[in-house]
Amino acid sequence: MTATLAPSAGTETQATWPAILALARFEGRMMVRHPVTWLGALGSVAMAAFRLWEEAPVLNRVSVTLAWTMLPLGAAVALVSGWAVLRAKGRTDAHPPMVMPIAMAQRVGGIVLGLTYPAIGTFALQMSLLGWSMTRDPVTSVVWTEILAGPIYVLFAGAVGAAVTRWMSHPAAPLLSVLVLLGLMIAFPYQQEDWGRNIGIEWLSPLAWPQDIIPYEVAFRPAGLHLGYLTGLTLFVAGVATLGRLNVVWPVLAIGLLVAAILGPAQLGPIGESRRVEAMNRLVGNTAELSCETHHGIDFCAMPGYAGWIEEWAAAIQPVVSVAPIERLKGLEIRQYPAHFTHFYEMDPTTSDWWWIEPAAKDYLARNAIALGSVWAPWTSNNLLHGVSIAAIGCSDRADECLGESAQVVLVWLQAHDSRYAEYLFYDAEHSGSSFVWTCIVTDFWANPDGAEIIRDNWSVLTNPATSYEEASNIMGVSLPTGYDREGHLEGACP
Amino acid sequence: MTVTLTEVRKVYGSVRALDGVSFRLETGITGLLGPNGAGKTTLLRCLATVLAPDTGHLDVLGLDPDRPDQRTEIRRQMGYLPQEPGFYRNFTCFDFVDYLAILKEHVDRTERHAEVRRVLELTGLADKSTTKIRKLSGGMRRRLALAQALLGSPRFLVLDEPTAGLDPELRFRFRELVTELAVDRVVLLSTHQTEDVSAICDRVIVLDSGRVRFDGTPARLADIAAGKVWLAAERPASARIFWRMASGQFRAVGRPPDGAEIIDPTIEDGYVMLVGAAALGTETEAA
Repeated sequence: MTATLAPSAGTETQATWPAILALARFEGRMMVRHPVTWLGALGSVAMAAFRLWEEAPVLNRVSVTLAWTMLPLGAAVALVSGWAVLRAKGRTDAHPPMVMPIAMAQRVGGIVLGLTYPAIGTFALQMSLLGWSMTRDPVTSVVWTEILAGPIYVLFAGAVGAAVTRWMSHPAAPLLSVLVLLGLMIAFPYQQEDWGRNIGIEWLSPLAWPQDIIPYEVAFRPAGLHLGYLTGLTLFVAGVATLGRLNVVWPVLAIGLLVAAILGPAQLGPIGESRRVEAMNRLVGNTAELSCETHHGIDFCAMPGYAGWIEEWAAAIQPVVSVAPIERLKGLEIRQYPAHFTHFYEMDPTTSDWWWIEPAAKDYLARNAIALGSVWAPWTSNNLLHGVSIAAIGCSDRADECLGESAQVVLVWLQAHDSRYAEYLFYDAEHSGSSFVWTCIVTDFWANPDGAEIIRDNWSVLTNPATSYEEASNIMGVSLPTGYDREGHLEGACP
Repeated sequence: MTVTLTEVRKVYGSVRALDGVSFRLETGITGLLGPNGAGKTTLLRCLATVLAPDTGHLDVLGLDPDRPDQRTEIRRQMGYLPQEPGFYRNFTCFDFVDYLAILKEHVDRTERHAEVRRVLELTGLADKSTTKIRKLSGGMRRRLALAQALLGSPRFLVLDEPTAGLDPELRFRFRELVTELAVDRVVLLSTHQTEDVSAICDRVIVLDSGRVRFDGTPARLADIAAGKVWLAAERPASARIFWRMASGQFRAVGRPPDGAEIIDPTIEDGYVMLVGAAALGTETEAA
């Protein structure tokens, strides 16, 4: 057995730390310049840009997205960091680094400290994406504890790459470190039951993935605790990677383990009342900052920077206002909320759906209000029309279930003022193999140039929950399809 | 400034790579010759603090490599050119030497970069500093390996086959460089190039089967073959080794026949006479 001398300095000297710092600068530059790092960054940019574009920037959803989309970049840095350690270890015992004063553990220490370079690069990348995102949404709020999880995760990933490669003498070790990293990401499954009240163990994953059923997750993420937990994990893994010859390693390793052990479980617990109030305030927005105007007896309230949109909102509901009795709409508030998820999640903060997720939300939301988000487009205008139409028809809690058969026809007809919805309606009626009875009535009625007048004249009857499809079709002068079930579903297309 | 080996032994399984090696190196260039498997690389690795001898004692510049703190100090004061340096193919020449300079505790960036440029200049690689190592020829890589060994003007240079793959001009430059360095340094040069040894070494050590077979000046090594090298018109039957020269005559080393035209030996002739059995697979006729 060959007795190879430990390629180590054994003890730290005055020159050790300056050399490690110089090495950190060198390794940091090499890691940032590495093509694989750029490839990972490209993946992260693509993922973040796609999600930010798709999701519509609302509240701290941007911050959350800017953290978890750094996943590809972290995986790339883990690989590059592992390769750096592989290089530092050398292929033979006669490799020049083996006979240098800076020992293996110290060389890995330089690599681990050098990870601050890609971490800083990650932060710069996030800021660029944030800047781009803010050009689309002036009210984007920034949650730094969420965003910082991105760079810390990149540090963690690099430390994993270094640790696995340091202690596994195989050329495939860097690749294995990436698998370890990804394994950690998916090892903590969502806690499905009672997800609305408790936070699942996915928070033990280095990067917590956002759930798709969201408002709760967005508003109540224990981002600060998670950041602390992730930092603790990073220190621990960095300590494992550099075990051997540096005096500072054991304290770092111990502190990291302690922090992770304390904050890991702490982030899983229920959040406090003050945090809940703070989060709800974020979701609902600051009422004092709203700019309000009244049109058609309806109050329109916009967040700072959106006052110019009120005219558009008022114009969008004009067709409904021109038909519905104005007294039904008085006192109605059309209000912009920072957290309006209807666009993506089909959830509205003013509906009971949300209250189920977070009952406390009910106390914070304005009554008799229609929610608008920070995106104004044809598909969001339909949501506004729906809310105003429901309010005009007189459903007190604005749930569709309170409508009668005839009122359902009126509701659809009113919404059809939105051209996009009308196009969908007619397409559905003409091409679908099956349809709903109200679709057929409205499609037929749409051709009547006196439609608005007929509805206005018969408003009370048509919006009465007791009025049937048959009565509605008689009033509207259209033929009633046959063969529909209790829910109005037709077997086959409209006649 | 000396390097001393005392009864150094190193065994790999049943093979005695070093078998009681003792000598003392002083300022100047010492050549290390020996057939393949003689133990040269093992000896260099022990001196370079890569390997620990099984028994015996090493003293490098007054420091004991067995003691971790002193081993570090040796590494600071030593330059080592291994046989296979293990290059980082995607590094540029500058990055490679810069990286090793950092590991050698050259922490001031400006001074370090000046030092990197100096050794690249010394080895004729200044114009290749931004070239990736994978694009270098074998000879250029050898020069690059030499460049890193020269970092920080080490007091003790351990060079394993430094001129392998170098063209004649670069070999001459190498000789010039090493002889300048050796004025106030200890240089141990392991090589198969006997011309290098005769050209620049004050002293030559021949290692064979893990033992020191010769320790003296190059002239004394050549003297081993004195009277045993001759020219012949016909294929010489009694020669240990011979070859036909461009003139058509045979140059022979061994036991000359009566009346043979004896010529002056080189150290190569002495080396052949010394380690003939190992080198040629025949019985040794050592001095």
